[in-house]
Amino acid sequence: MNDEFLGPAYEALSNGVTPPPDANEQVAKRMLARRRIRQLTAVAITTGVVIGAGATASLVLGDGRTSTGPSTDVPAVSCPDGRVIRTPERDSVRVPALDSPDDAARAWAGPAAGRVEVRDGVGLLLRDDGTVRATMTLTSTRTDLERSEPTAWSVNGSEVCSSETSLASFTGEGLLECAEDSVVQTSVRPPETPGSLTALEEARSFSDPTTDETELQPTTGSRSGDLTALLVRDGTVHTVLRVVRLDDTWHLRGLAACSSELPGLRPVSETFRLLVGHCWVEPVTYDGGEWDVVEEDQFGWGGGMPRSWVGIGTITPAREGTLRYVDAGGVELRLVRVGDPRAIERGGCD
Amino acid sequence: MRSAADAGAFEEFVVVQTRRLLGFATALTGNPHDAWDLTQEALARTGERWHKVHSNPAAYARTTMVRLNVDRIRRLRRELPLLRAPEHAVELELDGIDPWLLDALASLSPRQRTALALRHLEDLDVAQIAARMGCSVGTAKSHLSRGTERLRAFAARLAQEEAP
Repeated sequence: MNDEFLGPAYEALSNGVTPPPDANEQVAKRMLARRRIRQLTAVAITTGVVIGAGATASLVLGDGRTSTGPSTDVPAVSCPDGRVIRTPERDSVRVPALDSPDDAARAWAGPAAGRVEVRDGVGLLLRDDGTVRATMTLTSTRTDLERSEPTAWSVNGSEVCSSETSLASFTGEGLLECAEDSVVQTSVRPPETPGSLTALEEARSFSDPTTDETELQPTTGSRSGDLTALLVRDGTVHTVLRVVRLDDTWHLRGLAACSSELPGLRPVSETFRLLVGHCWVEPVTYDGGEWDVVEEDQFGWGGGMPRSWVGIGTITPAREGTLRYVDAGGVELRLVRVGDPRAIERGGCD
Repeated sequence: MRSAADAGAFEEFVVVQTRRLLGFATALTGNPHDAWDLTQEALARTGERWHKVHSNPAAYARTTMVRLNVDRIRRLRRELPLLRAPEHAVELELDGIDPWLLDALASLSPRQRTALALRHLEDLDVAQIAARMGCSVGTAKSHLSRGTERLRAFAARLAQEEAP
């Protein structure tokens, strides 16, 4: 099989699926449903404002209007089984993103086009003609065989939304070629003081009200279509972050740190080091066994991509007997036991 | 949609482009039913932004499809029941498509399917695929190579099974 074979097969595929006769009607219904959801969102936001029990907040709406409302109509951010260990409201924990002189600042319209707005502790990416800029922190470097010099690896995003740039020209800000629908990412940097809470190692992109359920367990009652809850882990605690989208405007509405012993969540490892050898990530020892990457999750293929790369991150037991490796550089790998059929076939690569 | 003219133009766009978009979505998902969901979502989003994207709405819709990966569509379906009309069990006709190809595509990872679809249906080179997928060239090469390898293995196995 080669391109001459695949090309016609794909061409047949391209023309071979007949849409339902009422395609236009179905699309119209979908648009209507999406509009209703957005309206619900707007209603929820304009009639009841979240942010923590008992708090009242002002909202800056997408068109610049400001409204206020009672806070009790919509449940506050909460952890499963009520296992909140701290919340900004209850424990006077400083959450940079929420820490503001007045309530209105808790919601913001996001950066203007072409600008980067960075709140203390929160870097907000923005659309810029299909690309975004993001604050970047240099946490790892790669030596790429295809490049003559080391490159800086962006941190505010997964490989889907990432960037490499010359180390020499790395300025702490990089142009990312992100999908338009995944440009909004938020990350709260780890606290400087150990135990001081509220480090979101990574908040994934959330242009849709979705949570990555493969790793981020949904919190009961935390999603209602108009609100998004992300359950993320920072290595010690799990944090619920609630974000509301109103048109193209994102609002961070609340945040709570939850017990690390929540059902369905498992602790992450201490810092872990992964090495990339000739072609692949070298097998690692964890929990008494040897673990390997699966084929679609490694860097590059057959050499070329990062060589002599060291990743420093954490490992979390994941579903189906796998491990998930994540580092601050945005690299995410799935690991399976060596010998598992899902592990890569190294062939002549070693 | 800001005007009746826009609405009309969008409806015409749906009529003309849906088949090819659905084909592209099938290549991305390996499953015609997921593909129809993906196509509807992409069309809906295109319609919502029509006044911004009308210069090349098909490209916008395809880009949206690539970026709304399958997992995301499935989650969206679960989480936003308003988007679903259960009574609408869609029957899609497949015409001239080798059944093995759908099975083979279903065995690929979403990213491999994406890379192959961009290669064979969008006629993009590796660098363009990497840019579209937001990954490095090496990663795009990997997806292309491994996806092709799997399709080849699938077809070879099929040929072996069908041999007298």
